[in-house]
Amino acid sequence: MNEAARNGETGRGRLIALVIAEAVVLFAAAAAMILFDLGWAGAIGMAVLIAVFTITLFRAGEERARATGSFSPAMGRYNRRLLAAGGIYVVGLFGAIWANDTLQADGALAFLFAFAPSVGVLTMVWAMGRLLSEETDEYLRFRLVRSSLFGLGTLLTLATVWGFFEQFDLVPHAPTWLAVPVFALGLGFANCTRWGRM
Amino acid sequence: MNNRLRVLRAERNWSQLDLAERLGVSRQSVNAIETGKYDPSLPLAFRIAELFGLAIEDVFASPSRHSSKAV
Repeated sequence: MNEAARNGETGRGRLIALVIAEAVVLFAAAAAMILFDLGWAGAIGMAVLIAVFTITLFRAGEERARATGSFSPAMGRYNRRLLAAGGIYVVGLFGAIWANDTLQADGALAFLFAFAPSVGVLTMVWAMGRLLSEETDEYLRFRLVRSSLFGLGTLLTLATVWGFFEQFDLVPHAPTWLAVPVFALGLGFANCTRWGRM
Repeated sequence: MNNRLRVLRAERNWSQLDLAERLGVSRQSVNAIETGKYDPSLPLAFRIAELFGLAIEDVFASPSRHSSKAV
C-alpha cells in the first residue's frame, strides 16, 4: 500500500469516528434539551455543537482529500462557502423562528421571515454551482457531475414515489424543503460508492 | 482506453503525484487515466503527450485499432 493510500485509510477512519461521535453527542444534546426544557439556551448550545462538529468534519474531509490526491483549490473554496452558508442558514432559521414567535407578523413581512431560512440553503446551491464552474480538474469535475446526477435522480425518484403515496393517503405529508437534503444525501451516497467514484 | 502512462512514468521514476503536479491535475486524475477508468479530454491528452515529448498515439492506444496485444 502506498503512502497516499495509507493516509487515505487513516483519514477515512477519522472521518467515520467523527461522524459517529457527532451523532452520539447531538443525540445526547437533543435529549437533554427536551428532558430539561432548555429552551433558547439549549438551542444556541446545539447550534454551537453543530458548528464545532461541522468545522471539524470539514477539516478532516479536506485532510483526507489531500491524502488521497483528490483535493483541489476549487474544493477548498466550496468547503468554506458551504460552512458560511451553514452559518447563514442557522442564523436565518433561528431568526425566523424568533421573529415569528415574537412579532406575529403577517403579509409581506411574514413572507420575508419565512424566506430567511432559505437564504442559507440557496447559498449552498450557489456554492455547488460555483464548484462545478470553478473546478479545473476535469476528472474531479466529471465525478462531481456524476454524483450530482445521482443526487438528482434520488430526489426525483423519492419525490415521485412519495408524492403518489401521499396522494393515496398512505404516508404523511413531506415538506418540500427536504428537496436539498435529499439531493445532498444522494450526492453524498454516490461519492462514497462506485456511482460517484468510478 | 489503454495507455502507456504507467510505463512512461516509471521510466522517469515519477510518482503519480509528480506527474499530477507536472500536469496541473489531481493525483486521482492520473490514477484514473492510468488505470483506464477515465479517458482524458483531447487537450489533457495532448498535454500528457507533450510532457513526455511523444505523439499522442505513442501514449494512448486508439480504441478502434487496439488489439489484445498489450501497449
